Amino acid sequence: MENILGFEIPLVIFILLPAITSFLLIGIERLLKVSVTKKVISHLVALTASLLDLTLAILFGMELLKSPSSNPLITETTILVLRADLTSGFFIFIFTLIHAAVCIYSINYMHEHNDLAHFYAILFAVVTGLNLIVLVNDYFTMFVAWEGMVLCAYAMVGFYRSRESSEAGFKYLMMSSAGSLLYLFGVAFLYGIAGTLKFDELTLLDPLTESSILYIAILCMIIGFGVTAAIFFLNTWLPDAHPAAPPPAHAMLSGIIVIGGTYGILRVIFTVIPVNMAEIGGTFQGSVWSNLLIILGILTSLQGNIYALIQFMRKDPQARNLKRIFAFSTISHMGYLITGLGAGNILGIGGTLFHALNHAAAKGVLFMITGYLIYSTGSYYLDHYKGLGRRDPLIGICFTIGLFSLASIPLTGGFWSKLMIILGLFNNKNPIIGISAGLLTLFITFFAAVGYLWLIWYLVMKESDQDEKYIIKFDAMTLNNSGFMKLSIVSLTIFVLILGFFPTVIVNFAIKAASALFP
Amino acid sequence: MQIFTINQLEFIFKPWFLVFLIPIVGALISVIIGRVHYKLQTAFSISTIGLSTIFSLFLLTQATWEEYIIHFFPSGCTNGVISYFDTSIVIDPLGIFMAVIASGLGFLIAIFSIDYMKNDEALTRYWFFLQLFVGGMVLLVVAGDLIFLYTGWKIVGVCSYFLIGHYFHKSEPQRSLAIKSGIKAFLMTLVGDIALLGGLGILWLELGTVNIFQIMSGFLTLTQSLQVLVALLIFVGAVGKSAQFPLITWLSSPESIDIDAMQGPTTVSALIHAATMVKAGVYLMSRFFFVFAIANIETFYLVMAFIVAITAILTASSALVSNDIKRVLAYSTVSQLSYMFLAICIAGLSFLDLDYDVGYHAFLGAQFHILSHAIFKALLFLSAGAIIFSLHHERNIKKMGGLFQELRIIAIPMLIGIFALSGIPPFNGYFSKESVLGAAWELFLTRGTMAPLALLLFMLGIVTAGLTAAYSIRLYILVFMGEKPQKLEIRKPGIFMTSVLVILASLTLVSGFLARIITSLFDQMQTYFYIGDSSFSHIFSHYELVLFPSIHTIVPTLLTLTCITIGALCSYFLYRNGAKEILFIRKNVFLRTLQTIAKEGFYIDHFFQWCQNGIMNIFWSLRKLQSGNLNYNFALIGFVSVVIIMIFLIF
Amino acid sequence: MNSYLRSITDFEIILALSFIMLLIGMYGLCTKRSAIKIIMALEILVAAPNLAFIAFGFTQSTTVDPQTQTFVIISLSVGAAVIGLALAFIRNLWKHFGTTNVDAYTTLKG
Repeated sequence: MENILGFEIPLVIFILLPAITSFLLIGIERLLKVSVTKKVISHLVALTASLLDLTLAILFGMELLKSPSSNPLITETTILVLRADLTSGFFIFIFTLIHAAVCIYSINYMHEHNDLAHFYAILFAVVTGLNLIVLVNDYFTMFVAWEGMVLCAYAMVGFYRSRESSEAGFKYLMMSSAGSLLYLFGVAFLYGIAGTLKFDELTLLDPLTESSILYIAILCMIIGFGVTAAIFFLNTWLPDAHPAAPPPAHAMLSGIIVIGGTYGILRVIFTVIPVNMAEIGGTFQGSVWSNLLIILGILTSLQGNIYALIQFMRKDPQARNLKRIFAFSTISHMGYLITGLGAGNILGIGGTLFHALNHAAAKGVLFMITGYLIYSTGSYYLDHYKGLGRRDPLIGICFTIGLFSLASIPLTGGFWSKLMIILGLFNNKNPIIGISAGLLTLFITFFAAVGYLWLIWYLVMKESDQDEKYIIKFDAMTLNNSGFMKLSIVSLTIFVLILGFFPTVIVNFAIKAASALFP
Repeated sequence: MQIFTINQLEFIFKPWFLVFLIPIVGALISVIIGRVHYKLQTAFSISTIGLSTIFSLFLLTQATWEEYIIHFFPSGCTNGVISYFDTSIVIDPLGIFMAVIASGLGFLIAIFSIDYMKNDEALTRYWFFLQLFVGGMVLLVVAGDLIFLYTGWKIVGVCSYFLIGHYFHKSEPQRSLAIKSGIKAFLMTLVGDIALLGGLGILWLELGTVNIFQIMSGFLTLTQSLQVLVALLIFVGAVGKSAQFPLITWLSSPESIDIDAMQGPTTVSALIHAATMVKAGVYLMSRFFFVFAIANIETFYLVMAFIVAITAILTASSALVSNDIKRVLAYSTVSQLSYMFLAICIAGLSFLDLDYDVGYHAFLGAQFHILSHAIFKALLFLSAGAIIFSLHHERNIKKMGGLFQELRIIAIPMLIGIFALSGIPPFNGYFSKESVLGAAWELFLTRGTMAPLALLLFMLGIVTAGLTAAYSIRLYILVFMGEKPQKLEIRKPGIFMTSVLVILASLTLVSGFLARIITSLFDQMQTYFYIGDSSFSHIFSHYELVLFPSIHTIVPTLLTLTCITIGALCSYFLYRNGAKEILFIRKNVFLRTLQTIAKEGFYIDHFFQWCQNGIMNIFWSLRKLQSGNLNYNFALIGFVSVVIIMIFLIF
Repeated sequence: MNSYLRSITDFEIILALSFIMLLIGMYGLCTKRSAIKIIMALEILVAAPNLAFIAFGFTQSTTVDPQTQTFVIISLSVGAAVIGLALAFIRNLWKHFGTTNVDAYTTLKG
């Protein structure tokens, strides 16, 4: 197996590189005095490491795509057993992509902060945790990686130490910990029944007899992941926590951390549930688990869209916060992902993977633009951003493209992936659930698209109000220092466009990854 | 999954596509021309629609019932993914007939709008969407595949939305009404659109092709339940577009709410919401008739007959008591649309009973009624538009009266239209109604298993015919007879208006006698009806539409004529004295309540509004679940988890 | 003692205890107003799966299963880290709100 570098990329590098960078950044923070030089050094270290990470992830993905066998790569080190299949490669690509964009963006956005290096260190620690989650080979290590990652996410939410961010971070911490512990409880039961927690050994097990306890174990695991994956009403922390974080961190939280939960559910589908299913002689598709995930997904997307609608109707002081609207939109997209997982066939799972990428990229663009607006106007509220397209056409175009992708307008990435998910649902073995869920998803998509298009009209097309109260001038001083922000926004937008017009390579990757999951 | 695999892109230019490309491209060009001069823009827009009319008339001479399909992509590159997008148009009389109606009436109405829209502030928008609408409608009816079909379906929906909301630049009460009406129409038809998309999606997924003829030959391979599901979904799509029960209210809502498609300009109401677009539902059911002829389940037809019956009776009685001239016509449109659905229903029922000849006659009746209704309803709407124009935007018929002397040039064409709508011989409405009701009677006479349902539908048809005659005569008398109110100022309609009215009136007179041509167009259509089974080879008997009934059809004709006469005479004797209110209805509590209920559109729209408010309130109260209190949130998580686990342990 | 009671082993007692601790923890999270008490409830919740691991350690081998013990030690340390961060958050919250009552922390809602 040869790639451009001429050698195989070791899996450990995806954990070691961000981890070492993280420690390095903490060292910089501790050892150097506060000065411009220190900031520049932190920027340089973070930028280099994140871009290196992204390059390695792309090379690794190509390596995996070229390899003829679909068996996972397994690397045994002294402390860890790492395992990578195409799905892990795909997720690592998403993580590093958003991470690199956020790092470029933070060069401008976080420059004013004195504990800048700490912020970068947290970002890298999150990526370490996420990479570890998709690379581990057993459920307990996954728990440890999970807690490590989520711990940094709490710190990210509470980074400003302000009133809102402390409150949001505390709530996020409490609820997410309760979820993780429920997951650990499920893992304990799984260990008790199966005697092992390794993925490859679990799939080889004989059908288990104690099915009702296994049911509880699986449910605990799904609910535990579901708290992070923002399932129906397990997500009350999300709309509080995401807007409270700094905008670059918000892009990370909304784009990739929630996807970690989706990955966990995907693992449960392909390692634990088949053990249970083999007993009945069925497959996951069309089973009660598949129906559960489809129903939960539909309810979640419905809930997200309804709450986003409510945000438009709000009249109270902190009304119509753009970040909060996007947080609810994240919930609805998590619903589509769960629905796609529930479809349980290659199209559905491939569509889920592809949609995760599309959502992460589009949401990345939108949150970075929101951050740009906050940075330049100093306001958090939707009404103050009116006339965005007229003041700043470039950003307006990027905003429109990002929203188009979220609204699944044809010829954007979001359209192709939503199409794959809906086709997967139509092809589900249980036609009644599948077809009605597909039609419902279509219905929800149409109505959500109306909301997104309204947002485009309100922010990009419309002229700014003549009422002085609502006009906040763009701060010319700060805008001069926004080159890296624009670079990051525009390059991610170009990526979104590429996903829309030339989806072939990525769709191939997703489909291949999904088909490799099936035995 | 390769998306682009066109090896040799040899796009041969095909003139057939001009029939819908001219208006669509013309719409884009007219925007640029509008920057130069607005009169030039008007002339250009009318000429594109006229060219489209000429093209479709030419295609009518070319149309055959053989599978005359023209593919969009050349045959060399229809492999790979392109085969999913194998778009084509089909040239058969069923579609081209509708294309002629759409573009021809579009042309006449465009000429009418020269006068009617003279002082409008947003002419560019008006002409853009009018042309786009004609292009979309022609695209919809000539489409030979699901992609073109659905594209045209959505284009006409979007054009309808924009044209209903055309007056959103006006001052306040009219502005918000226009905006709300547009959104209401769009959302209510969206329900049908999504159902239709689901039905078409199932066909494509199961049969792997988008070509309608391939779908037709492969349809029998589907399972029974899927066939019924497809039939239901397509029927819901048709119901949404054609404003049948319970989605009536986007086309005509009661006066107390007044949010409906009639908020647009009257020319738009004439073209889109009376003559062409609302018939897209009927066209869809005719095009996918093989689905309904096979959907072998009586429940489906019971549902359909129920919806048709409810719609026809409810809207006809609402039309009887409404006071807005456009609203009466809108209710009448819905009622006549359910006549066409009734014909399709009869056709499907007779195919189930294997009475192919009767089915063929009913199918033909539906097509014929589409034509005659398009002509006379366009005439009526345009006359109404001319009256509204002359009376400076007065729409209430209670405030009109005695206009015959001054507006004779409108009154006489409108009288012809009213007679045609009532079904009085020898105007075209008589022939088409006669053929629909005759087919229902024939099905009853065969004494098959469906005969009771057929009799029921026939009774419904004649009752509706009576009501139709009553409300149309009432409308005419209230507007043109009696005494003229004092304060009424009158301006004369322009020359373009009156000439269009005269042309349409003469068409109304003539087209009834064109029946022979129309029946001969549809004579060879058994190839279309092979219903998935290529060995099916029934030669339909030639169907003659005749002015005077033969012995065979004397009973239904006499029954229908009796009903029409009773309705017309009642209305005439009640209103002939120029009475605006009828005393005995006002005195009788029961009758008065009935009148109020009918006037409020049987509270269907009120019910929708109640639902809407209720749902918004529920959404708003859902907000309390996001309380921000940590304890509640934990309780919520615990509750959801316990519910999920309990559901699992129980099942 | 009848046969039913005799069949209850140490394993089942410990497992039942872990279930009870889970319920106690959830109860504490749902009802306690003080942030500190909520953290104590979370601490109980941390103990519940660990106890379950211990219980299942009996069934997996005749002697003590070393794997479960490793699991327990690692997850306890992870739990300690989480609690530490939670205490840091409470300090910040106390600074801003002047109270540790979670009912006060409701600026973000709806």
